[in-house]
Amino acid sequence: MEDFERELARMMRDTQANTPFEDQHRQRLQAGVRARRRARTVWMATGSALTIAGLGVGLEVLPSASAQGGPAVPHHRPTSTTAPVPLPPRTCTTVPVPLPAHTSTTVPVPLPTRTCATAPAPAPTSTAK
Amino acid sequence: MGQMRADAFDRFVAARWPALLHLAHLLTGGDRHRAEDLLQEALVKLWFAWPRVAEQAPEAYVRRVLARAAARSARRRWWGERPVERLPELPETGDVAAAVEERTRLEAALALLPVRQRAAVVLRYYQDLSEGQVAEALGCPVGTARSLTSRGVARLRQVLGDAIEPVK
Repeated sequence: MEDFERELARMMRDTQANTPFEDQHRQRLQAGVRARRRARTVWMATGSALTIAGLGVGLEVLPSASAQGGPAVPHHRPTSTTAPVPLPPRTCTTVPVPLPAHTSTTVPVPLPTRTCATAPAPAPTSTAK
Repeated sequence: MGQMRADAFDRFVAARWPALLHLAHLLTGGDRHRAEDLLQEALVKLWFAWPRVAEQAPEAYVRRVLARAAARSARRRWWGERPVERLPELPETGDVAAAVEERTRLEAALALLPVRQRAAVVLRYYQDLSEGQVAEALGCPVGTARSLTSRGVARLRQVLGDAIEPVK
């Protein structure tokens, strides 16, 4: 610690006035405690009232909402399940066919033909030439 | 039970009142009314926390509440502090004791610091806390507390340098 810091610490300690804790301080403190206790009581009562009101509104609204919204859900399910069904066969059949025809001279052509087993047999002979 | 709690609390407050009030004065840069308000607020909080902290460290609890409340209240409203390059002239009355003059000078210098720097310096040099304890009291990282303290001391060295130099 430097000299200045030591001197600063000394100044802070030595300048403390000897102020006793008097009755006026005690009374003010007791009044502050009472006021805070009242504020806490009011706050807790307000919180409890709001909680009860919220629960009441929730119980009032929830049964009617569930009664109206219940049957609407199953109606949508058939439409959503039938839509994806036709998509996979179309993509499987159409994708391999045009690729060998258009890209017969390029390098990536043999890759799909090897994975598709024996059907596109003529393709490797065309790329070898 | 309640009476025992009240007695123990009253004994603690009566014993530590001068030191706590002085701490509040330093934290507020010498504002007497605000210091009393801050200490009152901190002691009311201590009363409700008393069953928890009475057996541990009630003074550390009050110190933490005071330091944080000082910083918070300074952010919340403006207290009329205005940084100046030179300290205001002290009144030239013959009956002013040297200690009072020194206290006034110190509080005026502290009033020039931003509140968090002031709180860090006061906790470090008046309360003799370590950097870690200052950080804990202010609710900030140790590096921040170190930086606040060193910047506050540097500013005080500028302001109080002339007053302290002859003492060395």
